Amino acid sequence: MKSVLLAFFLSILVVNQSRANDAPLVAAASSLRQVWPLLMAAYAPEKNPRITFGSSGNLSRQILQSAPFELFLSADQSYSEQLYIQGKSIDEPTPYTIGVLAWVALPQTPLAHWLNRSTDPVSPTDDINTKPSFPFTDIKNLAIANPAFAPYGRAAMQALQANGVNKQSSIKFNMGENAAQTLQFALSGATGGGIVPLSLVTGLATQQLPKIIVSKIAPTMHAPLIHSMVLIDTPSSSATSLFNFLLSEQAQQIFEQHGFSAIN
Amino acid sequence: MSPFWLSLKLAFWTTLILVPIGLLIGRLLAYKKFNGKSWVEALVYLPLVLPPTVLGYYLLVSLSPNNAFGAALASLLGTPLVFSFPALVLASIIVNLPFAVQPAQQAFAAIPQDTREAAWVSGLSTWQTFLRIELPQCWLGILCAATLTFAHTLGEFGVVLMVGGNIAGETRTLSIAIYDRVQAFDMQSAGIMTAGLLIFSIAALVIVRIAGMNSHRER
Repeated sequence: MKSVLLAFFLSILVVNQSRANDAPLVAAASSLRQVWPLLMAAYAPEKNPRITFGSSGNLSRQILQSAPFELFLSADQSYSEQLYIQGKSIDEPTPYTIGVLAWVALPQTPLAHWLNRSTDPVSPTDDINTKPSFPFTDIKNLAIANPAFAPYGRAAMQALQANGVNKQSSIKFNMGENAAQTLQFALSGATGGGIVPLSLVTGLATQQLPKIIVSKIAPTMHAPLIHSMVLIDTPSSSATSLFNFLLSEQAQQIFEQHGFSAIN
Repeated sequence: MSPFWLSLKLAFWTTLILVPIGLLIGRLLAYKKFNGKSWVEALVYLPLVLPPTVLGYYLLVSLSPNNAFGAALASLLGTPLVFSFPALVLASIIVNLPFAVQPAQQAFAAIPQDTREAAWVSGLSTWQTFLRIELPQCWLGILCAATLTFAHTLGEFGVVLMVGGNIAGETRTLSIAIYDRVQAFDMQSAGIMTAGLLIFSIAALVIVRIAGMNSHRER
């Protein structure tokens, strides 16, 4: 039994050594998955940050339960605000970019037909008579991120409601654990398409994807997705400089070119 | 540390710690009769039927520094246990308990009672009997236990995700990395990793089968 305990504590020692690594640990909303390599190519740090992508709600919960992240990049304000309120962060959340929602569908699906017929299918200013209404009967299920902990899912639900779709509708929702998984669900062919971050289906990101129909959703259709970040506890200098880089003009330009819109 | 090495490290520590525990419990269950034995057996085999998320939930809640037990543990170790490698080791030990105990229990049970009695009347103590008579006869069972534990740890997912999260170099094991790569539409990397795990799992089962056949032949 003694040797068992000894082995266990030895393994803890081994791990603690690996933690003394100056590459900062970053937790980021999965809407940043595709833009992240571009940001890092521009930033060119000595050691690439160790990044974990997930839904903002899930990551903030992990941080509250003492996950060792130093910087949290949320896809909204509420989750980073929560870390500030709970004392996990010294400073209030800092907005770094704004998220954009997009419809995504495989070609030849009912959703793709509808998206093709209406250029901006969910704009509230459209005359209802000139736009085909949402094809309720043809679309059996849609992929959205889980609104319970993914900001893009919450926004997607708001956009759908503005479009006359609600929980009572016969559409089944295939809920992704985060925005990136939602895209994977939407393009699996098993769903009628979905609503995902524009940043995951724009520019370079589409190279890895099958041929898809993408249609931007007007920002007026949902509460704004103000991505904001907080440094956790006592961050290392590398985490702080990464924080500052994300606010730099260079980083802001990269965000804007890859499916995000500028703050202000 | 890459997911591959991290998974190997996790499997190594889990096997190293769990095989002796499995031997002790397996031997106890094979030879001893005591009150509540069915309950102990049920508890040992519970991870076979319990969803890993249930176990993950309980571990996450109990080890989190947000409660008294987790906080005491965190101050004792100097670092919170959740979302760390040691938490994965602890979780893997619990999840793999049946895989280590069952082969050991069978191996001990297969040793004829008169062999052990012969050892005792020859003047060997219980401890000497264990070391010189029982262990040499059930080494194939031990090999089975170690192989199953090792292979099963490599493939663990649910409990690892809940207790460890997905931290590069710390808790991002091979199966978590596969999940992560699929979400990034990086099917090539995911494909390489899944093929590796598939081949390894088949190899592990072949080892277990061969060991099983040999142990029958020896008797």
